[in-house]
Amino acid sequence: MAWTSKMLGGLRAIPLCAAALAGANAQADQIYHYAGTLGDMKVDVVLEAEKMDDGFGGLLVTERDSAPVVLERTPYFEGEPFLIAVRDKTEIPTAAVEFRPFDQGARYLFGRWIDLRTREERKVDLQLVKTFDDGVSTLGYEGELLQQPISALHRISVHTDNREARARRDSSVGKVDQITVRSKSGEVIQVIDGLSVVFKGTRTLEPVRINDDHNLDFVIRTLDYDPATGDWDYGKQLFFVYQESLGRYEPQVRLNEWAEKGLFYYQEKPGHFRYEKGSDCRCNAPKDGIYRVVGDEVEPVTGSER
Amino acid sequence: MSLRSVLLGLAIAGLSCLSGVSADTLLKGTLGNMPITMYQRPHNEVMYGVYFYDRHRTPIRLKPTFVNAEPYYYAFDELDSQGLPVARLRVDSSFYTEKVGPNQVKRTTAGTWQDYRTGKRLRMNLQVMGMLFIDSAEPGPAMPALQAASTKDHYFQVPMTTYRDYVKAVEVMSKKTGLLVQTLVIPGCLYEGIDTVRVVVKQGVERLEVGDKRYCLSPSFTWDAKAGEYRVH
Repeated sequence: MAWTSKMLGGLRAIPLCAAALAGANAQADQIYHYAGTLGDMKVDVVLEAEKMDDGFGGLLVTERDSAPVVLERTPYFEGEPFLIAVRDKTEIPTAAVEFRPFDQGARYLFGRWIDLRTREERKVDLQLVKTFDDGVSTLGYEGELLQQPISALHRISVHTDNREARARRDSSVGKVDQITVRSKSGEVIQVIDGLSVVFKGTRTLEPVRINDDHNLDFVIRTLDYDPATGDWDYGKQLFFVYQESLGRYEPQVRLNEWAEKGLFYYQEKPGHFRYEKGSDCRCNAPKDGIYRVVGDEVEPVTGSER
Repeated sequence: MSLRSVLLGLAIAGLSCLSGVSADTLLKGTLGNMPITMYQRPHNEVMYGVYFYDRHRTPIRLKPTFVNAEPYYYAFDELDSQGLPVARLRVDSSFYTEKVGPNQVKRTTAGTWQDYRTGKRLRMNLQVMGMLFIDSAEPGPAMPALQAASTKDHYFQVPMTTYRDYVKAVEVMSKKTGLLVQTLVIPGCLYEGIDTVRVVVKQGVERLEVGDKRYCLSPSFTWDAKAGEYRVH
């Protein structure tokens, strides 16, 4: 599968809008993307219901945030106000948002944002931008969805496109075709396109720590169509590592190859991983051992460094 | 072999993890230096909770949380009278077990209580005093299920033999002394965890209601101050 990674510094932001699809491969049952105001700030809120749960988790990002904050997965009881805590990489929540009243999928949501330390309150007014669920609205599978925070500096979103699946009369499949990385100001700094990747709601990008820096990296999984069976299947893992010197995420071709062959295992120490040859490996493989990513290269870790 | 026997066996075998077990649990211990009593109830992947300081015995309702929201603990929020979070309670979801006698184990767990405003954090140490399973109660024959509702002078508990059993009685407990004031006989109502007993005010009169009215024939009760007991309304 081919993809390209482009630096698009200088381009202005595409407004953060829309959400995404939910499909056969998705973890989320329904995703609701709201936009509106939090006090005098513009805000985007994604509420995500997971299968089997009567509750929501999600994301919240204001125009002043560099990255979204997480809304804790919280049970919802019909007919009651919905209070959801806000986690900003802190040990305990710093704020909460209360919607009163709250109805799943409501066109408008009203409530308040409460600072749990100072009890300062701000009014929250939201309007539903898009709804995504299993097969109800095929058009809903095309859009852009904010991702769980991976970097404190970036807002990352995925774009989904199920036109191909719809053409094959399988509208329930969501396919991610593009990842966009934006700066705090909303400037697009990287687009990774040409993808065919499994959509998993706001968790499409799974955070991992591949190299030994302070930045999280991510892994995604390809979505492959099998013309023989007409099914969409999970494919191989694709690792992307944030290269601080370049200011962007770079694909890790060698790791992807190793992962596809099942020869790649995480170690507890961040930035190190184990490579072990399979019994049937006849490839021109490196030695078994501990490795790390440095720049674009994968290099062995010596005993004294482990 | 009952679930209780299996769990007891596991515990005696030295296995310390009872997380994920679908059992209501009564705990006693300390929050900081203050003795507390806590009741946890898992139901449909949601954990409900209530606790009180043994000095005051006024139940404090905890905001329900998903059982699997965090990997190693339950994250409850303590709510104020306006329904806003004032503190975060983290209660470890696993129990440590210690054999203390033939067929007897002591189960303990721990956690923290942290004030949202000040950040002040206190340690919680808790011991399991009873568990209510689908087919039994431990230590048995019945376990008092603490209720979230209370009045100025009383709190309530429901003695249960299994969590599928019908509610047959409500124990009215004195907040002042912690002693049983009265036992109300109930004609078999569905157990609804910490919300089996409700205190409602209708036409200016405080009433005690039990169970879901759609499935329960229990009468309402009102407090008769002269008699010093609840009477059928």
